[in-house]
Amino acid sequence: MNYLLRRLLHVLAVVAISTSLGFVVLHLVPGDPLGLATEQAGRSAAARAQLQAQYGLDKPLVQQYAAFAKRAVTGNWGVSMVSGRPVGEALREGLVNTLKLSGTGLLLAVLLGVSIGAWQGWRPQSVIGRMLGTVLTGLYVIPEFVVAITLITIFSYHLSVFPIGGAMDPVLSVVGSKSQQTRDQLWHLVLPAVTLGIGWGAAIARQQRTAVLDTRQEDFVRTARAKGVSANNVFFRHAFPVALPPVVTVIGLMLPVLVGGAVVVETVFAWPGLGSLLLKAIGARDYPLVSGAIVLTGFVVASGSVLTDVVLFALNPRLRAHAQ
Amino acid sequence: MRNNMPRFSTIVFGAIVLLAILAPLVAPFGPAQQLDIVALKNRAPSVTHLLGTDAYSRDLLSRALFGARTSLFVAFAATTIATVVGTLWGGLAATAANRLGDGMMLIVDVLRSVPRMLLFLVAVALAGALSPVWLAALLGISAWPAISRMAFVLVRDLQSRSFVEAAHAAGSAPGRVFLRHIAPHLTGPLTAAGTLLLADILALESGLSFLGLGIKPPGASWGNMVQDALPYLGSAWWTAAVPCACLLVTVFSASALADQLQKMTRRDETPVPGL
Amino acid sequence: MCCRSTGVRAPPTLERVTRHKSRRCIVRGLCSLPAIQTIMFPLQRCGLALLVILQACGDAAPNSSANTSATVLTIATPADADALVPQLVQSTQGKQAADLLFDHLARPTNTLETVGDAGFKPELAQRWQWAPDSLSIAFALNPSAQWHDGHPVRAKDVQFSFALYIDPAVASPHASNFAGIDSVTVRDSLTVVVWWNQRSPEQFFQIAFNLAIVPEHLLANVPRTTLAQSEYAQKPVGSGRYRFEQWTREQQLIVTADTGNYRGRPNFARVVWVVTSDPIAASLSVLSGQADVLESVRGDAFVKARQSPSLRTVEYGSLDYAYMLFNFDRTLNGTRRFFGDHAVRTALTAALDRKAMVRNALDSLGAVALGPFARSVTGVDTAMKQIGYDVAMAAHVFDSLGWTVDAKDKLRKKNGKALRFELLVPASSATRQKFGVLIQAQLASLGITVDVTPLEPGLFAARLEKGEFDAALNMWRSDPSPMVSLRQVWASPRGREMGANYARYANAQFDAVLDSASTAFNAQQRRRLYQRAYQLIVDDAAAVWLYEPRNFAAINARVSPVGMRADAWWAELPDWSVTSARVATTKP
Repeated sequence: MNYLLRRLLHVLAVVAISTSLGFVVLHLVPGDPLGLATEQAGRSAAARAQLQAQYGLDKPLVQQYAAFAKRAVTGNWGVSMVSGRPVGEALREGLVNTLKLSGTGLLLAVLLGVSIGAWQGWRPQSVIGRMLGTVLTGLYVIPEFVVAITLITIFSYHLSVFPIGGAMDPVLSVVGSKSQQTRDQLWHLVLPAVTLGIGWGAAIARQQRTAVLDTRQEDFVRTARAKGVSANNVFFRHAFPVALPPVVTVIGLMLPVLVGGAVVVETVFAWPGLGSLLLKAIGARDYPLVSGAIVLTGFVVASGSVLTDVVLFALNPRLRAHAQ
Repeated sequence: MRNNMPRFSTIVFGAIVLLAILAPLVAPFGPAQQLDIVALKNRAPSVTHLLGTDAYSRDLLSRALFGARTSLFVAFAATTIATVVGTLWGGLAATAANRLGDGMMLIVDVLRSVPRMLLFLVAVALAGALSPVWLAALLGISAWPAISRMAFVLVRDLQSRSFVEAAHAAGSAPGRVFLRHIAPHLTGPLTAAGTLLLADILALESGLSFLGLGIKPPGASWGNMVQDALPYLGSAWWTAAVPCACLLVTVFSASALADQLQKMTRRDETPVPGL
Repeated sequence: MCCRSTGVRAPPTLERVTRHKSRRCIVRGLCSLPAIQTIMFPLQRCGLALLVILQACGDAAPNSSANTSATVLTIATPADADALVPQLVQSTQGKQAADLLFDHLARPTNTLETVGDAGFKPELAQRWQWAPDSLSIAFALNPSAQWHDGHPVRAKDVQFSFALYIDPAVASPHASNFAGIDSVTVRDSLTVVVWWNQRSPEQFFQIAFNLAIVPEHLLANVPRTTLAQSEYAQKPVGSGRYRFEQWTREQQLIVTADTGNYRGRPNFARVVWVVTSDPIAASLSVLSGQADVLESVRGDAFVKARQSPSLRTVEYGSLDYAYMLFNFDRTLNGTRRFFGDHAVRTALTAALDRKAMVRNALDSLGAVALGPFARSVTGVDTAMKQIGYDVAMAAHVFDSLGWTVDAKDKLRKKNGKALRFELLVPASSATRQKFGVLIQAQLASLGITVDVTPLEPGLFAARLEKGEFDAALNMWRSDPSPMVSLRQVWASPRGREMGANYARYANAQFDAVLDSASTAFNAQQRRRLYQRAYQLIVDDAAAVWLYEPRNFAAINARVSPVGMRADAWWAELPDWSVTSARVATTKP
């Protein structure tokens, strides 16, 4: 099948699945979720009837699904039953915070992972390389919350270097100056970003190590060396670029984790991101918010996957040729 | 050092599994037993309580053992489900016609892209609380795509080998070919992948329990032991350190074991001379 | 290159391979690698930049911000106010703001004496006069009282405010507090008379404590049914010592000092409530000096606040008590009204070691609750008869009721069915969640299975109201008047009016004692009757009385609080001042 067509179908399928999950949560939860939610908000029977009409609860399931899908795609996810705010607004804040955290974590992970993994792959026999390998395996498999708890216990509770949690000081965020707020936010960002960076960096390092190791064996490297090109140049101009696409693929594979896996870190550090918002909404039985968050996550993962594909396409001449 | 690590990790992992199985016999106290909620709250490790007590004066050693039991049970069950379903799907896709096989693997790719956490959150939103059995089933269902991709590649590769073609040419039934010629070559890589998956699922289950979505208290699981310890990170840090250390050791030894298994299977895959 | 070990056997003519593998060489080798060099170079630059930033962070005192002007008081509050118009306010946060923005005729003093008028000081009313038959009181308003928009406060404002409270179109949750008041009339522009149907000991308390005065000239033409959405509700105008400035929902609420106020200008020019729903962030905020006041610190935060030199932990009285309530109407374990049996309730109370649980969950920051009251309420006899901790007795009672322990699984069973019930706990209260786990374990040792279900507060309240629960851990904040609380929570439900009697508890004897107390004018007689009422409830084991939390607020050392009443720590906020010395803050 045509490569691009496959990828497009893939993306559409992800969006469809997440939309369906969102629909399931909103409409198939046992015990009328909207009913419970309207009672929570203390609304009258008239308001309830209006909600029924708005969500089309009396129509057949297929029609409801179609209506939901249309609303979901246009970004109209309804109103949070607990706070009364539009779901889109609440989600946007959460998404921005999650992207801030995940983005920084990913950046750290790429910087550390690529450099360490490449170094390891280029020098697989060295003592440090092997020790690093063991350490990286450990960091790769360790659950994120263990890293998070360790860091927060040491640096926040006992050494008091970093704040215990949150994205920013709530008072500074309303009365502080811009520079103070930025400084404060950066300070709050360090520990959670490092937690994410460690786990993801280890995964990237492993991948990079394998890729560079394999590339080292390739003929073209031998040829280049035989020609008299220095080791540095060989590494940079020939080995490194070829070793890059697999890493990008790994990053692409990690995209679902970017949004979903950050939930644990967000909980430990009380980071107000999409993951912790979703978790709280489930606890509060705030189904419109839950459903909106699920759909949004699907969109984000799908668009991230498109981005990865574009980058891979640009990097790999073979794929480009294949597509043509 | 190179040769000791895999042997060491095998021993460690085996010991942990054994302790988990024998937990009811080995543990000095019950997992939910609150011994003396005034005097024994958050006590540091001592002779009577080798790993200390938690905020509800429960013995941490016993809780860790029973937690191992529950967590490992869930992880093993989920891994088995994932491996079986994944292998079947991947194997079928590989032996099927090209288009059908590609289609089946496209489904797998799509499923892999859906964030796993979403699935769990939806399940909890629908069901409220998950018993260990349902938790294992859910974890297994979320993990089978990865295995199936591996199985697909393996079986496709094996199919093109000369000895399989020879068997086909000799007129053996496809099922017999699969069982006799292909399946034996699968066990090695699948065991390795399964062990790695076990480590991954263990980490996932503890994460879920930590968030309150997995094993519900007072049931012990390393994840919810950490959750219980959160308010005391400053004053009684060992209540968090014990389950974290258990997780670290188990997951690490499992993945080191998996690495070793992988190296072993690669060594076995010497090209068989064609018939 | 001095040292390079190549894994691939390169032809020896290409390089001279030395086996010199000193540590120094390895490091040099590391740094000489092109990959590392290219990545280290920008990293070095980034690192330098980072160091500069970190240095700046370290140097800058976290308190050098816009809000350190000594005149701004920042309060870290766990939730946003729901409304500011007194007729509509229900949340504590809303009440805090409303108490600063609006005046009452008179206010309670610290004594919290609710009988007669001795325990009150004048506010909007300069003086008052009782009619000889005590069926009415005439209040003379302070002529210099003004609304924040400049209009003078007049008697018709008081009359209008009362009408607004009881108007069913407004549907004020406080309407029932005015039961028994016949009317409010205007004698002249500065005198207002309140008329009652009959005398009662807490007449004065009823009108002074509950009636907040709102401007008639601004609200007369506002449609009553949509009062909450009106423009006035978004920007309220009152006569209090603070005037409304700004309200950003879910973020902050700001009020500024009314400098020309008839009662005097408050010390703090501005009071800001910042919504910090996360308790960790809230305690951090206070510890770092960004916020000045955190009304409730517990656990780790309390310990840290105690140790911090820049903070004071101030204790103020508490009117709260927490209890495990039973749903009397519930059919459970094959029995109709399972909790209706006095023996069952007594056994459950005796099975719980309340003292140990309080020690575990609260350390010294709480006391065992003795009954449906808080100790701060005046004149309570704390030595009253209680149901003691007696596991043997409890086991015996259950055995005699037919619930015997099955030898195999150690559960109490009757006709094959195990004894179990569900305990609802609000997820917002860490203390009550702890109690849930403790109660579960203690009853498990008796063979009773308890399923603890944490719920979000909204859901928790909904299920209590609908009666869809077996047992629940509830906390009640008493009124300064014991009568009001007792009536609301424990008096028999009259018709469909359940009030807060979620347990659906009905005790005719208790009702009778309450009725007598409500007409007892002699303070001592009143106290005796209350004591009798409490003893009745405790003897009847209507609920399991768990704990009374001690209230500690963490306040920045630069602030001098005064008059923190048990029911309202903010009662005299306008009189809080800044201490002269500026205290250095420490990092959290």
